[in-house]
Amino acid sequence: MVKAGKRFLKNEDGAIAPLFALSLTALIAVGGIAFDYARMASMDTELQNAADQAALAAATQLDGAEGATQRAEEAANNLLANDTRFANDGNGDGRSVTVAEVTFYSCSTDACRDDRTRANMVIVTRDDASAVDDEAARFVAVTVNNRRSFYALTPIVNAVSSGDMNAIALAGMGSSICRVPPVMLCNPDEAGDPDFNTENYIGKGIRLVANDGGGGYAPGNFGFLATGAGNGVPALRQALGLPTPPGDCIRYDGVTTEPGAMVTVLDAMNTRFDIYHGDTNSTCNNDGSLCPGSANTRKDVRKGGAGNSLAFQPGNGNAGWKLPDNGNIGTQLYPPAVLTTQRVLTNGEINGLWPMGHPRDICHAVSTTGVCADGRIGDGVWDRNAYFRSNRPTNYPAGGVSSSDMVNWFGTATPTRYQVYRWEIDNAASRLQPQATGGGANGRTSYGQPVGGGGLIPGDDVVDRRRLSVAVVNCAAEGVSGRTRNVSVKRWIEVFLVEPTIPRPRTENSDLYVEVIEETNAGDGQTAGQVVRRDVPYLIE
Amino acid sequence: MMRFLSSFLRDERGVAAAEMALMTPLLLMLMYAPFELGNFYWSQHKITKGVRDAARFAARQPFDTLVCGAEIDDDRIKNLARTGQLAGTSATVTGWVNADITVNVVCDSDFDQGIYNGRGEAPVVRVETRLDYPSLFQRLGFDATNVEMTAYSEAAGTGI
Repeated sequence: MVKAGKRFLKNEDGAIAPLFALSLTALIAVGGIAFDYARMASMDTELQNAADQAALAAATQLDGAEGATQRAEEAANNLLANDTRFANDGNGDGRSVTVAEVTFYSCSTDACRDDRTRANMVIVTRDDASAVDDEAARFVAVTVNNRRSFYALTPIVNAVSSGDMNAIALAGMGSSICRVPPVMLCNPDEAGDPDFNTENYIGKGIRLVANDGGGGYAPGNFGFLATGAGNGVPALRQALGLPTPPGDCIRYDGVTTEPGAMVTVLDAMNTRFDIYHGDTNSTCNNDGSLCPGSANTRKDVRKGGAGNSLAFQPGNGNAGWKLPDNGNIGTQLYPPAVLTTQRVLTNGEINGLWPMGHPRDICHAVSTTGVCADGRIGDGVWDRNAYFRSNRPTNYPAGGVSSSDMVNWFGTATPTRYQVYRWEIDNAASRLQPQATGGGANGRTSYGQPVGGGGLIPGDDVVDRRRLSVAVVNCAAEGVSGRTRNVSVKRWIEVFLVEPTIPRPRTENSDLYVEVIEETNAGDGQTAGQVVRRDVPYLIE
Repeated sequence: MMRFLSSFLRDERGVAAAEMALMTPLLLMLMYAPFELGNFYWSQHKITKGVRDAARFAARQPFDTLVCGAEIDDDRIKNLARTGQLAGTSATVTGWVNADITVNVVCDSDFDQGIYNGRGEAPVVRVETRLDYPSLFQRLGFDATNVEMTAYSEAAGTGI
């Protein structure tokens, strides 16, 4: 027995078998780890993809409007479904990856502006009762429910499953403004209304002045944005004059300002009013062939009978567009010198006014700087009676326009200039006819439609040439001066170009007078023809 | 004769060959099944990734092409899923052809706000594929000749 035991111990037959048996476990484990790790990695990408797409779907709804967070949460849950094929946990969801949590963030801190991570963002608490959260929520994080995959080949050391795995994705909505002239304005009431609540300003005029003194931009200045179309005056002229401006789309938030070249490029803007200065010839020709005017170019200058020039001519002579002078025909400009207090003109005073375009708010018309309570922002009260009476009898009844007429035409007795402008386009045959006095070289004619051709009628695919999308910036807080990068935009608003920028007794040729129409919409909305705003959700992490 | 039979029965030469013959089916399975299974997972992973990429690309097409309820017959999208490139030719999975892939747009009118404002409904792109699993060894490991692989991915259409 002892001998047999000794022989067994010394026996080396079949020595490979125990060695193989020992290593087989390790061999299977190594192969299995590779296999199961691949499975885990695949499941992780499946979950991450589901989270990514849900977050993108949620971000499409973050437009800042009421109900945005509610809609975003529904979109994350219901708009689309993605599945996992590598999880095998027998979960009640089956293959579908479902959303566990939707969290909203805002990015109001400086740290966040530099580095958009969840750690730097501020969580926005859902609040169905008010719209505060809807406005603040700019980013959305979607977490998907935990899933597991059970290991197929490596059920060793108790690690029978992958443990819970989930994924989180953070998305925001990136917006850009396309095909608009790159104009920005400094919030005129930066101290009183830093958020520039557009609805408070609809229909009101804003008196903007160029920052032609250089240095930092002050509230009420306007300026231009860099678009990558090139530098200098020619590129800016093209951007302001051509119906489809060159250059890239402009970021909705975080713009770069374009320094210098203020006043000289505004002549290109006047092409929208059918005024073609000599210095815009290289960009726009001297007629409407390249830079057509709007279909409604009613303005407070009239054309002399000598020659075909469509340039503004401040001096003597009978050529080009001219301000009314105190000559024999066409006497006075609005506002007349007698208007020094905030009042509507009498019918007697109006009889001397011709031609007249859509005027400024009365409180801005009374002097160079105006007496409006809000300074550069008017009150929306403009002298409608003077406008309609001045354009009689060719375009409006000789007896003037009554309140009930206005209600019939515009739906309100106090229409905005933009309403009147659009209504006149719709009724061009009766409301936009030229008015002439005299004949030959001495004749003077006011026009409601462009003489130089073009005359774009705003529509689904046609841009409104007297409507601009402009960025509202808190210039003082942002320290805008020269070329400033990554400037935060408070709002993008739609404005109506009220009058051409020419030197008048009470205005300079660097002034821009606009009326606020509305906030620039997300999606298509009313501005389909402008193709102004594009919104695309994007993933952050 | 009897002597030959008894000596044959007691003969131990070539015993390894006999054992080998017995073990071969098992060894073949042990060798080829992991290959086959690994290849299946890999192929499934590739088609999953393919449809995911294609869905992302399709969702960023102009809204004009995302017609509700319609199929998008755009070879670029299908090529992207199949080959990883818009104009690619060699499929990542053997035998995967464009005809195996469908790209559909389904619209959800519950979502008509946000970027879908003015559009009335939200287009969702669904890229789906279904193809026979191209077996590595046919029946050597186990029978994988009639195994079908499917994958799909959905993405909310966002336009350019």
